[in-house]
Amino acid sequence: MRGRCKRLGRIFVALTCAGALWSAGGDFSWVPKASGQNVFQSYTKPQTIPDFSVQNLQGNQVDIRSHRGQVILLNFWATWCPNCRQEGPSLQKLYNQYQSRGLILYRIASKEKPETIKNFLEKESLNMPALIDKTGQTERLFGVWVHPTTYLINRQSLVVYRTMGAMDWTTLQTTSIIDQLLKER
Amino acid sequence: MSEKLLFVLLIVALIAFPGCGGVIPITGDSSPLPVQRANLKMVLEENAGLEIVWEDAKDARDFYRGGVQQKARAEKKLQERAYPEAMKFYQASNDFLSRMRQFMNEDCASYTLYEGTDILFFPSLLMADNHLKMGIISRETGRESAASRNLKKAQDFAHKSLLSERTEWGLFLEQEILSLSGPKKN
Repeated sequence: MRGRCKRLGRIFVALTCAGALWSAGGDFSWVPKASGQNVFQSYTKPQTIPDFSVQNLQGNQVDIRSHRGQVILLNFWATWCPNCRQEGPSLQKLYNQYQSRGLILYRIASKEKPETIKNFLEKESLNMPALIDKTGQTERLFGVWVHPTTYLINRQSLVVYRTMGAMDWTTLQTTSIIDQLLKER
Repeated sequence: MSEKLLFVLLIVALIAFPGCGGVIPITGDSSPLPVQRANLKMVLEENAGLEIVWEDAKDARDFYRGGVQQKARAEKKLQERAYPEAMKFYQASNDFLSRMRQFMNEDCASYTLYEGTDILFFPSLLMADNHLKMGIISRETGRESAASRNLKKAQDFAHKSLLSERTEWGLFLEQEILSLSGPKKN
């Protein structure tokens, strides 16, 4: 019995590894360095956020320029991405906590149908503002190549932080960075 | 067959089967990819946006984007005939792309980043084009040995690109390099 369990365990590990590699696209040369994942990368020479305008789930156009002077969190995600699903609840908590303090938070999904996103958010009980990048142009502007990727933009419209991979958005590290950005004038 | 061997075979089969699909280079006598589907303008447009600076480039994609963005600046300066600035940006582009090629050096006309999103990925061909234009500038400014060195490098990079992805763009570039590779005609 114990031997059989061991065998099943090994098969499970093999399948998990293969699944993970398959979801990585089957090519491992682009996998980012471990040190660059799931941590905040602070930019030494922050660049200005590119202008873009996309629709929200209600069909209204959202122009990022209308948020100049505000702290913005942009989370590029996809409904089919397991890591995005994983970080959703903690991102929702962050939104609940900081919405009233002026943090602008948008989740941007590219090339997905509004119904797919709506259903997903309903199922997961998430009500953060979601935008749809119909053509993938906004993702291209930012050079997104991993889901989720999140950018933090300060009041000067400079992209000051980036994270790639699932994050716990309720940690002290995260909230202190956002507190700091909100304090800046 | 032992349990260990079965286990190893299972892993190899599971990893190798899906893993190879996306990286087999297209070589041989297949007809080249038309220039309408892969060209410099498209690559420059695809990588415009949030600017990548060397100090903040951390991942393979950053280095590729940085290389393309520097090239876009170089092309603009070349059009303005601002040669020293153009040379500086071509060199910066090559620095980014060389770093990129340490991660991956196979050119590919439809590199899948993730589900439903492909990019034109041509680090070698872009470096060939950079060296070609650096060669032209060197020749224009009377530095013949620098011109020859750059044209030789351009030829090598174009060859590498064509080995992994046959494109009309690459073939045109190769022809242009060859036509310029002889000594300057007065």
